[in-house]
Amino acid sequence: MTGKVEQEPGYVLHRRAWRETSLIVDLFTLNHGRMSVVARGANRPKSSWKAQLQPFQPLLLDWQGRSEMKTLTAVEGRPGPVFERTERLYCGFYLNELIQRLLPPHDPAETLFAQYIESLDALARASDDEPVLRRFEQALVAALGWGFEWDRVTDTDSVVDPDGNYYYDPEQGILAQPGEGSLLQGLRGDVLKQLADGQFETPEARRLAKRVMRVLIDHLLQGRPLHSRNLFTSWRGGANDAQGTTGD
Amino acid sequence: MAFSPLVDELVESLRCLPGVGQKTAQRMAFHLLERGRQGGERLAGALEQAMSGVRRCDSCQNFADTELCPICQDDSRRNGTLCIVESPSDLLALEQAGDYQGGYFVLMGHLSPIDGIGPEEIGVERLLRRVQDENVTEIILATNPTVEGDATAHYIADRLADRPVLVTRLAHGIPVGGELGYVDGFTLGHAFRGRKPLAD
Ligand SMILES: [Zn+2]
Repeated sequence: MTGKVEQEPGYVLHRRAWRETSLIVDLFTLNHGRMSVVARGANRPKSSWKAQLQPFQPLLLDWQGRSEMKTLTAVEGRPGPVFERTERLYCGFYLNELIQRLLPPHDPAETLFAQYIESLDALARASDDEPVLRRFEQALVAALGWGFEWDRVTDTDSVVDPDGNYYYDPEQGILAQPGEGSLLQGLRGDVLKQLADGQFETPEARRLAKRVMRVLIDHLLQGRPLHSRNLFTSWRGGANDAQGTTGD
Repeated sequence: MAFSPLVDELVESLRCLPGVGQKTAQRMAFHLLERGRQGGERLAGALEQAMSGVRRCDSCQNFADTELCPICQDDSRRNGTLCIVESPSDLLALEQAGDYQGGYFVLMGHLSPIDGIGPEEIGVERLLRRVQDENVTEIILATNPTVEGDATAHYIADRLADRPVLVTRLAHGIPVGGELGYVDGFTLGHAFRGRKPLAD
């Protein structure tokens, strides 16, 4: 039968109930990018698929069907990374929401897929989550055709000068001169150099990378919301309140 | 269409039920009209009353006919313990198990950023106020063992971190009478992390 795919590596991004006993599952897969399948019967109380079709678990998936909506025929999974800390779980939601909102369907993105696996793993293990998020965001914008080099000045076609100060325009990248679209200014050359070398250690580097990626991602979202970011903010706000009260 | 406007409207209306397509809706409508007039009238009355009369309990958010649901009206169940569940059917399951004598809070969902469901939508602030006002001493998190249920439990536990409240989570794991070899990895992982000393 045509349209039959077997043992495709993939992850669940999101699931929703469909009819009485089924689920529509949005997936991020190695060779087919972001796509959806119907998991028939998976919403029955005793379905074993229900436990397996969870976000962040590495899966091997079989499906078939000629129409836009494929039917899932087999799932093989093994336990994925365990996020012991709340913020890591929310970081995972953030990655999933980015893919769901920004990656066009049926567009293979193998490099991003590899980065996704690495990011989940790092979120479960690494002591520091910011570099993980920034690297994933960079892989995502690269997959969307919006990649840029931290140390490349586009309007002068030159390399960043450590003593210089720069502007950022999501349409054009790092700029030496301000333009109509430059949304950020005062980006320090030496900090851009650090980022180009993959160094996220200093507070300046973190702040700059976060500002730039946020501007670019907001530009790509075109006004669509990013709820996991709000959840993170609300959680951190509440936790900070809690700390403040304890300190009193 | 093929039938009178009234019959068509009935069929269309029945399709709002989960799992009911065109064919099933037709079968239901014909059954009510041919042989089930009395049942149909009772159904119509119950639907009308429930749709206008059922509200959310001011205290636990569960469905209720009055400001407070029967459980929240029962003073003996205000014993300082609150069990947090995702849905009314989860509450029913716990009530039927019969071991639990405290109060509830029904989230009517779980955190799900992709769906735009955040802490506000599930009533976390209302829950925190209740913990404060009623001097709650133990919170039992009985959200589902899913990634979203975990995220919800973590969120609530973190928001309660500065309060003098014992926060516990229902143990998840292997079904009674089940065999390890048939349990999926996700469930086993949960069971493993929630293991307890045998002396307990
Ligand atoms: Zn109530």
